[in-house]
Amino acid sequence: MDPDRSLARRLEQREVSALREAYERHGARVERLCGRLLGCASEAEDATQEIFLKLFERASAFDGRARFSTWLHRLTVNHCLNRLEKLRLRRAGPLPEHDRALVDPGDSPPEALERGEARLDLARLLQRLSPEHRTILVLRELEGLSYRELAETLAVPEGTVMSRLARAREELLRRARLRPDPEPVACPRPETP
Amino acid sequence: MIHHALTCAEAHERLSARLDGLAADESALAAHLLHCPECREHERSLARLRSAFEELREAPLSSANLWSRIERRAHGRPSAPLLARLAAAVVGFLGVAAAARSLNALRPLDSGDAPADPRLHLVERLLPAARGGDPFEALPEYRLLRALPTRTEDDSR
Repeated sequence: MDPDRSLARRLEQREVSALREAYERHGARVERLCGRLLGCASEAEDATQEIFLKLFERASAFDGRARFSTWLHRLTVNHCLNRLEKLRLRRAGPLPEHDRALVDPGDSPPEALERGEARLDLARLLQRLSPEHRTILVLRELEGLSYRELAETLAVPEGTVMSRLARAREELLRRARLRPDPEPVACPRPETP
Repeated sequence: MIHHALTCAEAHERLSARLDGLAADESALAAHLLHCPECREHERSLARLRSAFEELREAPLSSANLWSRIERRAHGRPSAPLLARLAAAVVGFLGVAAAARSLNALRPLDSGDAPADPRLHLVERLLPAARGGDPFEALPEYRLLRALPTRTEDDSR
């Protein structure tokens, strides 16, 4: 039984108190997921607000086939992927130097990941992955979703989840071995008028 | 590279799945690993990666309280039924306008009625009055507006 089912019904009736309850139950997790996918705290805050407003407007689209939390995850992932695409299109020019030098040239995965700064390195390396690979790794490794939940959230078969996860891990290890190339990272620069 | 019926790509996929606790054909994978040092190294790297992720997973949840901002914006949004009614009204208006234009276009031009283009019809109504003074006098709406009492300073207080 989905513990959020009655909450979803109240959201459908557009009760602001239900939106508040949804935020209290899931807000921190949504914001953390946004931060991990977008790689930027201010972007994550903006995205969280937009996602809960979407939730308020589109609660009637929740059909109860998946758990409410899975549905909210899907909403979050789709919103972040769209946002990443917009940022990718908007961004131009080379990256600042500190963004390029994420891993020392001589670092191998064991050295880079076993040192004290493993958390920092890994968080930055995640931002270097393709959005597809970053999303599946964040959902699996950091959010702890099962293969079934991943399949529901990403709307792909479980077999695809398995192969995509394997490729994502390969990409992450490959990037950890190499000096990162100047690809876009998620955090946006200030827009010029 | 192929060792004992598994390619390295297949072995990587199985190693990845095994990391997540999914059962695989262990004998084929073991046979591949026995002869493939690259895949053995990949297996070790995956284990290290898992440890690094566990450390990253412990990052605390966000402390930012966004509720007041969300609430303000949620109150400012028109409800879905209102939006639906507005959309229906716009669609209805456009439909009526399109139908009126179609009917007008079907009228024969030599029938003495208004021409097909409503703008021409308006010009026809305005032109005779323009010769005699205020062209908008020809419009009943305009005459009605003029007939209304003028707003005085006292009224606006």
